Amino acid sequence: MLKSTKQQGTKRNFIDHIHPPSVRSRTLRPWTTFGLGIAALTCLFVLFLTGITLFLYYVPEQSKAYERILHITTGLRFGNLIRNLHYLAANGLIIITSLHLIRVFLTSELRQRYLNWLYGLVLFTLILLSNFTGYILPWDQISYWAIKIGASLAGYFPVIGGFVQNFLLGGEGIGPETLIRAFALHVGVFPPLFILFVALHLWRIRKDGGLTHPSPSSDTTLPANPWLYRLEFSVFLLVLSVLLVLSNFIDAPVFERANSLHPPNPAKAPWYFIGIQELVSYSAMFGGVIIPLFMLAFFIIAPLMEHSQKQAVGFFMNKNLWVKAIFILIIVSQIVLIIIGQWFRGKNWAFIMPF
Amino acid sequence: MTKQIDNKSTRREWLQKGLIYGAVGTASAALAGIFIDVWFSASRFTTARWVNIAPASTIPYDMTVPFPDKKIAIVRKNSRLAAVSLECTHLGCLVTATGQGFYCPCHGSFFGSQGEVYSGPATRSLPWYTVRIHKNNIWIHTGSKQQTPFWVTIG
Amino acid sequence: MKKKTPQPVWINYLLLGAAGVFFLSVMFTGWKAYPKQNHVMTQYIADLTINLTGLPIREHCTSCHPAGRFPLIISRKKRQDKPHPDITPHLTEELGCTGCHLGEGMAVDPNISHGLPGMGAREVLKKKDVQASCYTCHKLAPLQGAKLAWKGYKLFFEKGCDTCHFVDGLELAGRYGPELSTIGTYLGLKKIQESIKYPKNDPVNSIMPRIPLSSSQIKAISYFLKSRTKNPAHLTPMARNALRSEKKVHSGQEPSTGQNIFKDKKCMACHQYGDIDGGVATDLTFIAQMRSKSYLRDYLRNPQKLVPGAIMPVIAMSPVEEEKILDFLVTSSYFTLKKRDPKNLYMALCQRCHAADGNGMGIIYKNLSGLPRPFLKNSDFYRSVPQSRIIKSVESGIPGSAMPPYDKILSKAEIDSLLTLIFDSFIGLKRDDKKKFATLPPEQKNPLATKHTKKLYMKNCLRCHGKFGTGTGPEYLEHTPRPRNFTNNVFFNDIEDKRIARSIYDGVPGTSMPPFKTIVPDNELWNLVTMVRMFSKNDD
Repeated sequence: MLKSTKQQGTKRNFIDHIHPPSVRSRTLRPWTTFGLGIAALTCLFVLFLTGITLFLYYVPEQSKAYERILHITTGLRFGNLIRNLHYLAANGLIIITSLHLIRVFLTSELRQRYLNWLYGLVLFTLILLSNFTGYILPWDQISYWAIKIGASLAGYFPVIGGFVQNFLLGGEGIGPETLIRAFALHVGVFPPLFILFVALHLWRIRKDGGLTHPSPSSDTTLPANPWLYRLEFSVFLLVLSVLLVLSNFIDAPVFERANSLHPPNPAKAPWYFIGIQELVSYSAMFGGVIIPLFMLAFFIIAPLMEHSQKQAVGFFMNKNLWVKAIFILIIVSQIVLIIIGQWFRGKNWAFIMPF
Repeated sequence: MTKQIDNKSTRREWLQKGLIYGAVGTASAALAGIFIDVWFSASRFTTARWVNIAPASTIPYDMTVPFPDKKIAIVRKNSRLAAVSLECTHLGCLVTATGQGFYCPCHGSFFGSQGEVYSGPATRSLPWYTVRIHKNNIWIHTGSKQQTPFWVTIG
Repeated sequence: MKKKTPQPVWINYLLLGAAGVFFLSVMFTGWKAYPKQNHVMTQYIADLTINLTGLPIREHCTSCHPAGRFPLIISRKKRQDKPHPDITPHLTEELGCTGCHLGEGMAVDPNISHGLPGMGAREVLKKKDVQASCYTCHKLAPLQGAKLAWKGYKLFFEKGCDTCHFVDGLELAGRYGPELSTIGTYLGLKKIQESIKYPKNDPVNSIMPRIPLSSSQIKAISYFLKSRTKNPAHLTPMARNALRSEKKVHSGQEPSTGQNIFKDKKCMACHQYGDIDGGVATDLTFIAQMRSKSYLRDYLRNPQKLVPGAIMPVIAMSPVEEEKILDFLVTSSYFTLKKRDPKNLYMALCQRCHAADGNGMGIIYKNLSGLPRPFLKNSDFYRSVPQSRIIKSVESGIPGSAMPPYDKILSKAEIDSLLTLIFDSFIGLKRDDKKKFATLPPEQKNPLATKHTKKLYMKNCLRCHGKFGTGTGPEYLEHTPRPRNFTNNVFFNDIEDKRIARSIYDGVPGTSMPPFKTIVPDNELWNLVTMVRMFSKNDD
């Protein structure tokens, strides 16, 4: 057994500052949070570190971007590793934060923590936008057309769609401006916003009194230092290890140079938007506007629809089952649609078997 | 916490701690090494290459012929050739070839015929390039700077 | 904290395990990701910037191919690179590698740097293929070392490619097919060759005919097309704009004789005339004997109006030229055959489309609208067609299709003997052996296409005949002969309602059209006929 080395004194460092002095033993159980928040933070840390490294070698210019990516992936020693890490952490971040969102929604009493729920939603949006803008930077066939599809999906929105297209793409369509804008947003705008909202998100947890817990508390408390720190550090190391090992086997894609005249068939959106693309293939109005709007509205107001039950904490513990049911329906339908769109759609968006 | 700390548990504790610090420290150092390698990798890309200067027969006997656009001069002594850089080692001005050696018009550095410093703010001598004659053409390799003249014989 | 609480000791072991896993994964990554095989990666990488026509190009090519002329890197493992052949007046040091050889110069990976798979636009050009790059910088003129590419340029005109495909700066060109001015930037040599050789591979509904060319001719043309790039090095943007606006459709000179115009317009690149055969379209030797001059004029002006689905483009020509060509055809058209027995007649007149063995796959069958009717193994179809209709098809042709009227060049007896030959040797049926059909449901007066009819059409017909009756439904390419094009008003004006009803009711034997007797209720049959009529009326 390791001794707790630090006493709670006046000399409190930053780590101490954002952690509570003591936590309930329930907090430390692995199935309470699955460590998803720390995992997401780890991904973000990897993204910042690898992002800065890639920043040194990338040029956001139409005729050079693709060659620079080739330079990074093939010419630079360990360049491919860095790029793979960035790619994996970015995609992993979407998956991890989605799971985090599901975990929080299903186990927590969100009415009391509505503000933090909103911060979380903002962060999730930022993650999607960052991924989307990062996707275009290699300027190869797959990214060019994925962005084209993604942008046209945005175009289905009546009022916001045109605005989003104009702002994110620097015009109606994808052009030389798009690359500069995507780059500026990706490296100049979103990272500071990430830092801001992550700080708010963490601060709010502390302010709200740590994890939600059954009250009145019958649980024992433990010092956060060392137990919580050690647990968090373990999760951090494990996630980092998984990313490192995976980056040896999963390569970030490089396709042909972007070619505006020869679209691949089928042209697919980035995987996290493929569910919406699949919906749009059935109906542009329903799939592109009504259902996404409904989903967004649901996520924003769902915590308010729950009536408070203080003692109910844990999976399905509180009785707002119909809200949870809609939530699960949305998540499952998105997963199913993404699977169909990603693997079961062939030429001309026709149904195919992937094997 | 109990105050009774028996020796066995303390030793195990220290062993664990040492293992963790050691493993994480070494791994972090290795990881940092990878990142640092990438950050410094830009210098591994070299622009050095063979450059065609002129036909060898156009260089007269015992003359120094400057090629200002390529920042070099070809020195000929009898049937031997060498190529010297015309970039002043002080601040990079173009030096001019004189009878005795090379003179920098910017800050007045003087170099001897071997490129060595006679006077002036420059402290390092003018470097010499590797030269090759191929199909009666003079080629120099821009990545091969050396302190002494690299002589080739026209054959 | 006086109360003793249970300590979560497992966290310590987790941390120990995590530290171990982290250590191992970092070591593994370092070992795996450090370049070992590719010794160049551990050395200096050649990084040259070449200024090609004002556009700096950065290349790493010489890291692995040091023998541009001299070895740049003397590596531990000795590389045996042959020196680059002498290409004076060019200098490899000034032009770099990718300017001529293409490839991805910034990559140091054997696959990626040689052009990724895909369209192959940047695939490395080796050996003789390099001449595909010559005309990206040089002006189109005979050039030493680019003989095949020059030949391709000549062939492009000879074979009439420019009739449909526009290429910047060339004298005259049609816009019927896709523009090829920048094709070299987007497609690789192999892809271009494949597109010429098998035009219908991609896309499957392409209307480009397969031009009979030898593989060396295809190679030559692909060399020429590969050099048509987005930013040709020999042109400034201003000069390029000037080229674009230059449209030399009419030469301005007084048109010469009809025969010369006929040749100039490259009619024989596709059509047959006398001994010259393009091998793509119909025989024009005696066309004016079968068709009237006004029909030919209308056809020349808009082929798709008289034969919907015809792939012939509108040829750009002045009214004078048009008149002279028509006069030439009318005055020199003659059908001569020494032995006018049925076999020779079949070989002279029918074989080009219906094939020598009667299977409907003559040399030009793929380029015709609707595909020729096969004779061989098609007795079911001919048993269901009345005798009078067969004779009428030969005598006065089938409107809206490539089948011309033969009554001007053949006597009634000759047609009869020809038909007997076809029935005897191909169809294997006696001419009077006809199928008896059940009577159709009574015709309804003034039927209207109801909502229900439309549903019925969407459910049963759309798959093949298409949403707008154009005969190009999602499945149309799977059927031979192709589904009937309902918008072919020329064809539909000529036939009776009864025949349409019969085709729906009993199906068309020998085709993919099944009988809808059991599916379509009797009261809807005539509504469907009306619907088919509506499609064909829409056009005119």
